[in-house]
Amino acid sequence: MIFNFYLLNHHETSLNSLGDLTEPICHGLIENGHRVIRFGTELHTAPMVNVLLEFFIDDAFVDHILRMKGEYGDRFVLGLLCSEDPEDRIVMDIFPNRLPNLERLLAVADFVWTLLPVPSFYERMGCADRTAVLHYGFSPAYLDRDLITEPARRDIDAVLYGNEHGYRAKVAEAIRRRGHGCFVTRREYYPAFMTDDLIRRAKVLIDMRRGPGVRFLSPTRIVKGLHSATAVVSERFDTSEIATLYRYTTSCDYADIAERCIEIIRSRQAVGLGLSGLERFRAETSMKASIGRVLRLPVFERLAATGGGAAA
Amino acid sequence: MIFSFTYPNLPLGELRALPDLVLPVADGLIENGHHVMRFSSALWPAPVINVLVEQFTDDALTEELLKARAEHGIRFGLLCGDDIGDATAAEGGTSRRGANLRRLLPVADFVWTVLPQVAALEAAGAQGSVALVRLGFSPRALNPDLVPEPGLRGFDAVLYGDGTPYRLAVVDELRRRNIACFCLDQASSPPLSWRAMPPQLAGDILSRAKVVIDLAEGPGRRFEAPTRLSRALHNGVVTVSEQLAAGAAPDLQRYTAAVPYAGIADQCQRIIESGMFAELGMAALAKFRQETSMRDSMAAALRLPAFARLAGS
Repeated sequence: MIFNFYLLNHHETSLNSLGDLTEPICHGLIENGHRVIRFGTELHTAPMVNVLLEFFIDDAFVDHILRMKGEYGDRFVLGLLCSEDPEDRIVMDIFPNRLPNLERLLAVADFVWTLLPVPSFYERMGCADRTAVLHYGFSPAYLDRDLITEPARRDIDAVLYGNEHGYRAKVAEAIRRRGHGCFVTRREYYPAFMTDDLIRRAKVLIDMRRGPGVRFLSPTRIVKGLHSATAVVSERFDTSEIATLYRYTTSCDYADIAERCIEIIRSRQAVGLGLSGLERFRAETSMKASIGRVLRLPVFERLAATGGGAAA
Repeated sequence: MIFSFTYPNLPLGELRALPDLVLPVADGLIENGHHVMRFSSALWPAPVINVLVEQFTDDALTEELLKARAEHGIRFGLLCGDDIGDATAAEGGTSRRGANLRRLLPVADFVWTVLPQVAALEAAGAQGSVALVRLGFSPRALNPDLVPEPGLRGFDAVLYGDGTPYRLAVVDELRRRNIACFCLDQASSPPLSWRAMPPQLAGDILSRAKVVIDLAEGPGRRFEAPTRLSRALHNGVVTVSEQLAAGAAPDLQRYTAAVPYAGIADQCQRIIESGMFAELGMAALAKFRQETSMRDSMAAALRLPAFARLAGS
């Protein structure tokens, strides 16, 4: 199959940060023998499979998709990739039409891949049977090709992945107060090649939520660090099925994050921790297998039965 | 050796345009066995060799760099991606960029330029320390998901670069001929600048193009644009390039379908209608891969006398 990742519903300033989300999925699809259009600029009819990354704040665009679906039916394969918690009002309510538009599209989507397990929401939307949780796993194609195994070359103390909001800033400040560096990625400014390089050279990558109301960890952040063989210090709060990713990190409560980072930085064990996290992740997970699982949703069986194309 | 790329002189908004210039050089250094930090937020002391991208419009920052060199023995080199004739002549010769460059050239340990302007840089103060970095093939820059199937080349033509009037005239002509032209430019629709594109997304678009158009911003270009051409070649796409003026020595244009400006639209149309576009793009890549090497280019650039000294100390 050919998967068309349509990204034009995202502002160009967001493109820089989408790679951490979409690249592992693209690799997993390719590892399963499929073709991928990473940056689709048009929607296509079957046999192309459209994947739209959730962020629908343009009503007219949603109307257009719904019209296409109405006109073409099964010949327009519509998939949604949801990376946010749809029940997190702080995120979803920034744009008042974001959630309503998502709900409109969920009603007609052929499949939904969600990074976060929110079964009650998708059941309420009536699309649970078309929805699969996409677990991120190891992909050889996503592995940083310049892994640093020499401790002396891990010259960055800590990288805090994300924006420096108050909740995160306190941790960064605590690390700095103790005399260590803490670089905040600010993905809106720094191109991926720069932040990727910093993560690769970091002793510790900090994975924290935005604030105490958030329910789920960030698979993309953790997996980015693991593929760079960088020790990940995670805030431990998630109790859902994706909390298995904590197995590959050093997880602790919010109050202990700064101290735990400093311990690792000073222990000279950072490289060993990072490499062992990667090896365990590599041994126990697989992006290829994860994608294989989400491709078992009914629509893909239908597509396979019609030779890659939807019903004519 | 250890190389650290740092960009204190560049505005935040410019950073996203760097991959096409910085990554090939970094790749070539890594292929030569060196350790490369692609981004450092500060200058490193010796033995680390700092690399700064030429564009010094701020006098104070230039002063700081000169001071770091004089007082702390900071080692640094300059990487020039732009025509310094433009830099020094800009704003009627009053540009601080040109003036600051002339201050830095005599004290820089080395100067790498991707454009053939070695003599001009030496004359401006960098005598004996300038090397031309010819961008060449690197397996690290190769798109792993090339598109050899003509049927999957969904874009007729892609304009890679800002949409200046000179370029958009060609785009308009192509569109008049019903050739869809996708512009990686913020003023176009959709508003997507090539500068905002992470390499894997830019690569995805280029690899699915029947042709890529490489034009100067305006008439009178002195040099080809090796960064754009190299990016296109690594994505297996045929580039229709504006032929350089007589006397100029083409380098990567040898791997393109170069024609004079007036013939660009015709050339694009000919290639698209021939149906051979994918084959031509893959053949250009194969030739580029066979005849050039980023590893060798950087090895040559590292033969400057400065590196014997820097490596030995």
